[in-house]
Amino acid sequence: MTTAVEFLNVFRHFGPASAPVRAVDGVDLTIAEGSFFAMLGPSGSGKTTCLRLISGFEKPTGGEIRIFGEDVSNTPPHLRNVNTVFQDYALFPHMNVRDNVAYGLMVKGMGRAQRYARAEEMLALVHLDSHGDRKPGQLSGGQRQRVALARALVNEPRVLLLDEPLGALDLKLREAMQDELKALQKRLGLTFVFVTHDQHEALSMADSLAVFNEGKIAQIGTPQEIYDQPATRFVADFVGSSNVLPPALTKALGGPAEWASLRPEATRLAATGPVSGTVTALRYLGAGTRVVITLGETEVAALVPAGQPVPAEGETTSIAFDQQALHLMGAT
Amino acid sequence: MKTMKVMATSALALVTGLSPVLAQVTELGTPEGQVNIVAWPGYIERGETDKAYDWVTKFETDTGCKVNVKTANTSDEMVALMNEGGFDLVTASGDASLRLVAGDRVQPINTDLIPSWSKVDARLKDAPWFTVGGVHYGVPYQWGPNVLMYNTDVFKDGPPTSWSVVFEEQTLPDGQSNKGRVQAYDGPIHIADAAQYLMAHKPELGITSPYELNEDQYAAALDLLRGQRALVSRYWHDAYIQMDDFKNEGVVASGSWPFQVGMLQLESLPIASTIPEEGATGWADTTMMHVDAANPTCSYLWMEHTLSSNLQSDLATWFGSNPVVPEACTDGSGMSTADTCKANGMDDFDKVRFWTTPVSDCAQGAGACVPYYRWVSDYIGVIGGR
Amino acid sequence: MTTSAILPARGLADRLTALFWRRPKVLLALLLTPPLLWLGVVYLGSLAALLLQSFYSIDEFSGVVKEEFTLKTYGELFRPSNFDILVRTVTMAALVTLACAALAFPIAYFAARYAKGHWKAAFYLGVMLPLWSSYLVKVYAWKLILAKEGILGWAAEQTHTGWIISGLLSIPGLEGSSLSTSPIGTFMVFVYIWLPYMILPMQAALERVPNSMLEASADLGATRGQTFRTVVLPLALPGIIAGSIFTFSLTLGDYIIPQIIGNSANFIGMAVYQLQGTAGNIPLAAAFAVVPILIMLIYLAIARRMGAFDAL
Repeated sequence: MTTAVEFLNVFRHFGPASAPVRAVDGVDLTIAEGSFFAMLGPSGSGKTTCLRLISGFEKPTGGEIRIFGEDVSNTPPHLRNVNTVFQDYALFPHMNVRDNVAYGLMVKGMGRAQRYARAEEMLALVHLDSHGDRKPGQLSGGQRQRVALARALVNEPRVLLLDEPLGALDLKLREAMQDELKALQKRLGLTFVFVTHDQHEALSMADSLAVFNEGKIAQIGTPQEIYDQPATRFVADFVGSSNVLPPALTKALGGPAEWASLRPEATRLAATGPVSGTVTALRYLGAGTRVVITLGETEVAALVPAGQPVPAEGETTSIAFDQQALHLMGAT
Repeated sequence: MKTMKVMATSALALVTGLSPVLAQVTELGTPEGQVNIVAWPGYIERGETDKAYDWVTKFETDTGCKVNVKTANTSDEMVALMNEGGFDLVTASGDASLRLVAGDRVQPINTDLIPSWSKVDARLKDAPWFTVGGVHYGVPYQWGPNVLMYNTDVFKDGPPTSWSVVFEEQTLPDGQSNKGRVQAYDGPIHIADAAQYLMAHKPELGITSPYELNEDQYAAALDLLRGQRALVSRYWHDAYIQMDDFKNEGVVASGSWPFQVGMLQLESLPIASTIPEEGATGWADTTMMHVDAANPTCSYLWMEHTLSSNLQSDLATWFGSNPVVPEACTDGSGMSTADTCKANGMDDFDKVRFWTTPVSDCAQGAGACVPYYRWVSDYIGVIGGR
Repeated sequence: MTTSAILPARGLADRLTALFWRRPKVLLALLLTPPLLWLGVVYLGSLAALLLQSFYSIDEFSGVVKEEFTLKTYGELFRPSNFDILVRTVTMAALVTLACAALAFPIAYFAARYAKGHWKAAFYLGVMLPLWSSYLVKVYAWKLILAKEGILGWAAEQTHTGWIISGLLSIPGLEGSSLSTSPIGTFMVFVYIWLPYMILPMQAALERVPNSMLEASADLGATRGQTFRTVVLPLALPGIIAGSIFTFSLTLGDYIIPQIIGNSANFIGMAVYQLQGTAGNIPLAAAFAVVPILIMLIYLAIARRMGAFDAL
């Protein structure tokens, strides 16, 4: 398998050398060709800067970035065969949709008829044929998103970068677009690099993902790995859903005195156990009920499958799980 | 009561059609306590610019008439202010005075009520720019010639004797051409300067007055000015800009006012002035009284004051102009002396042809002369290179 | 204890606010009546009076204005000497506008894209500072700079570059004994005086072009030049047009600068000033004054067609 993008100990610092802001702080990373790669992290974690390092809008202050094996340190954005779907779409408001999509071909000197034909193909690909004459201002958010996608794809880039492309859409549209993007990526066989702060989006769409924290990669792996075996407490917290157990509680529950994560699906309710607590919240999810039990100072969630008895709020209960479901991890 | 009387007399005059002469004041009452005057800047000084120049304070103490001055920068502004009303007197120049008379904005003056009238320069008493049909519409105020200002470093052997230095291309005494080194006034009235030059140099044109030109004479004057355009880099309009051009632009000769000459000499620059053999144009201002003057007694007292006090003598040295009362040059009433008067051109009166507004009905016949509005548009053309 | 659902009015302000809420048009009428009255009576009224005057004519012999409708006065505008003035003024205004746009763009671009904090403050100060001093003082200062024995002449002499100035001054139509008496000087001073009026709207327009738009263009393969032509310029066009409306119309109407700097050849404003005065040729003055209005209308129509106001 070919490597599409490679980061070799990459740094990007802003501000004075004496007190730099370490936006990207020693990142090593490999993105395989044809994969759907997500960069996940809270705002300010360095994921967007990494994306901009790939597109060329930022220059690394240290390290090397390779795209398909070539060092791009001295290549300006317009000579990189990668394209970006911007967070705010950045459609040109003074051009109609067709001209927007054909822009990349126009600046390369392609004739009008030819580039318009290509633009129409791209618009058809994103289901916007017959919208070519409109101005971006006349489109809905979802439509604009598709235009931005078509515009970025028209150049047939080897890597497509997407900077929180779904952030501005409402939930329903967002879910539809997630499926569509994924399908499109499969069909085109392109490498997609996708930046998001939404862990569900990252987990559901990516083939592999990197979780960023304070300019560093906290963990890199498949969604399954990240979800089941968070490497650090931060990853577990950020990816969410998993219970994070402090060392004392892990020990009390029969494990070693270390931080651990425990998935709610692997957690059962038990009448008695080493530690018991009060049911403080109930959430009905259809396939089951999520029961939150407060054990001392820690809240632990258990998923009770449909059909099994659910305790009432305020009841006292304990928890049980298989020891192999307990995943130990680093403190940070 | 007085207004009633004035209205009655004017109505009578209109009905009987005797003459267009409006009623004039026949006797003075008690001073009204103030007088409102429209004047050129620098014309009425009360010692506020320079303590030595004050011809108002004493008048106010003596008569109890407070002098209120509204300065105006152009003749048009003066006419506009007088049309607006609310003023008693105006120091009108020759290009405004007849317009004010024609527009019935000013009233005839009863010279019997001005004791010092007898002292007025005989050459000015019946000057045509304020005397219409033998009736005086004002009292002369000051006058001055438009002199030829020149650089004494360039004209080493004595002043230029002819206006040709600004009208025709030639080599100046310093060996260089006059091209780009002379100026002319940026106002249509400069056509009269050209006409005056032609009076001396092309007598066959038969010009009798530079302000009354028929079509042929006018065309000849414009031709002369078109030739001048090639010599003049910039026409002057503002006295201070002209002074600056003599200092920084290498200008060495131009028609000018004694005012600029005096100011430049004050800076010890090699500048002098002369009135060449062709003579000069000039300006003469007149104190005129508004037809509806609310303060006639103070107005008359002021007019008397302009002739009898230090005003004539001091104003002449202040402004670089000439008194209209000849004895002001010698009687010690102010700072003027025989020498300063001579420097300002007092003896050159006969060489001066005073500015009047050109009208189409002139001495050559009704409609025979080119009126001023055409002077304006044609002079614009000349400066524009047409 | 329960409180009423309706709070008591505290005074006039509450009642007025309530009135405006119930009848929004009352507030609108109150706000708009004074400016509309001003606009309608004073502004449009004087414009109408001007227009009316321009259709009168002056009697050839008496010089008296004849109050009869005629197009004769407009015909006079096409007399060579008058037409010269129109061509001269419009040419100057166009050149000044182009020069202002060319000079202002880099400054505005820097201010909008790169200047932050102190630099931004310095920019505003630098652009606005000349506007605080008197227009006349600036023009007179320029007269001294451009004069034959002025600063520029001296500097040229010191650096042995006087031949550049002499070369410029020997171009036909631009002759003068110095820059200060040449149309070049008039042009330079116009550009200096009106430059801030071009920079400020341009900077405002450039500031509204999001950075991502420029990145998108580069991302899609455009060079700097292509981005400038196809994205920056079209998006900044409303600002450039706004600026050019200022510089163009201000130059069209100015009569002070060409009076002090240059070769005294008339511009529209100077002609109006002279014609309305002692000459009493109000109709021709009015006709001259109508020309800039017409030119601006045509200019705006062209700008509109070019899409300058699409982004409004």
